[in-house]
Amino acid sequence: MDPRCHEYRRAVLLGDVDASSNTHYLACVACRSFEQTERATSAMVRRAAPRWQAPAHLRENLAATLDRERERASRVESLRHLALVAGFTLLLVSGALAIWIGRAETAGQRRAHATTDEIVADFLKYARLGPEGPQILTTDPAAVERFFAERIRLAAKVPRLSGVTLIGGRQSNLGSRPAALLFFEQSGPEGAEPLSLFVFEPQGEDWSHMPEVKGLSGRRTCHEHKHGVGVLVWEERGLTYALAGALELDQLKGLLPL
Amino acid sequence: MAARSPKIVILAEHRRNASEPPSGPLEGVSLHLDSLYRTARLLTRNEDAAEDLVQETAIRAWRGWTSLRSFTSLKPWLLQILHRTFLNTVRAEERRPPFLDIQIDELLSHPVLSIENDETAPGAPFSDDIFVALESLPSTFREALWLVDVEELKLSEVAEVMGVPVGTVASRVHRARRLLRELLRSRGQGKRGT
Repeated sequence: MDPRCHEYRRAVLLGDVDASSNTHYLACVACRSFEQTERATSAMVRRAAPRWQAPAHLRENLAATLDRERERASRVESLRHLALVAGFTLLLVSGALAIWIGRAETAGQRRAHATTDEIVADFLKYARLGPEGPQILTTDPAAVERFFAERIRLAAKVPRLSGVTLIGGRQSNLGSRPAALLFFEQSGPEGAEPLSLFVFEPQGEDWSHMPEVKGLSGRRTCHEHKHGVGVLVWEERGLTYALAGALELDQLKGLLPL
Repeated sequence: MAARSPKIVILAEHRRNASEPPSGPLEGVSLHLDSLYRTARLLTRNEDAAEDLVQETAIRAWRGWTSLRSFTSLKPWLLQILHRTFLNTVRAEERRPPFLDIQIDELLSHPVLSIENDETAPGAPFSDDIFVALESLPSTFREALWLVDVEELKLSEVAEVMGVPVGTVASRVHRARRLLRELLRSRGQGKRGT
């Protein structure tokens, strides 16, 4: 096919015929016939197409159908809204529950708090009594260990604390259980600073919630500070050790062997 | 005669003011209901099935009303929904065109398809004959021809309705017209022969 005919017929079929195509239209009989045939067939189809009209009941049905659809969508929307509210409420409740559970103290944690309170109270009451306080006055750790082993059957080991001197010890009680109470002193420019070390058998205390002292290796050591008294707690060979003193955490930590 | 519901009266009002954009899907569908019904009849060849198809189209249009880009493209948009809904109802093998779809340039340079034995239009066939011939066209040819010549959609709009390129629509329309002419010629010859 001649390229001009091709272009012209292409334009006819795509409805792109413009004034510039007119020259070819006038010159080419075949293309004129092509276009006229297309137009005639199109007109014939348009004329012969059945004049179907949507029946009246279809209009009525359509209105009813869309009404039902609107109601259904409204119900779905309400349900979705309800589900959203329920989901959000559930989320809030479960969040609050999780926070409550997270914050709630376990019995072990409550017991640990109570024990720490007793240690602090004991330190504040007895630590500054001086030479009258101890039942055994000695700087010999082995003598103190023997004293407690015989007196209250407690295998308390005197820890090697740096910069402090062992003074002695006495039997104490934490609640209803016996505890070994060891007295130390730290010499300083303002006089000797007393320190108490409690050694006792654990009774279900859970120290896990207390902050851990960083920088110490070996055993987990945690701390608490109450009424100006710092307490370091660790466990060793089945016994709990609690060192109390009117010192800051860093000062207390400095006493422990690294 | 039963009294017409207020809704139908509103629809009728809209039909009188077709230039106004419809306020909702019901009015929108109502504006082009005859076109939808005619095309549905052509596709389904059955009155009841056509009504069902229009109802389903209306429901889908209602659900997708917010996706309508412009009210000027409402008619092609509705016909596209109708077309897709119809395709969903027919079996997969019926959807496949029984002929090779070709682009317009291929058609015009095709050694066989570009030649029409008798380029003259058929004499003056009866409307019934034309309709019978139209109905016997392959469905995609028939639909393309209908949308262009009867529903007066632009080729680009038909391309959107049928989901094919514009060139394919033009090719289908041209081939549909040629087939129609050939069918009418053969019917005419048959009638003359009897």
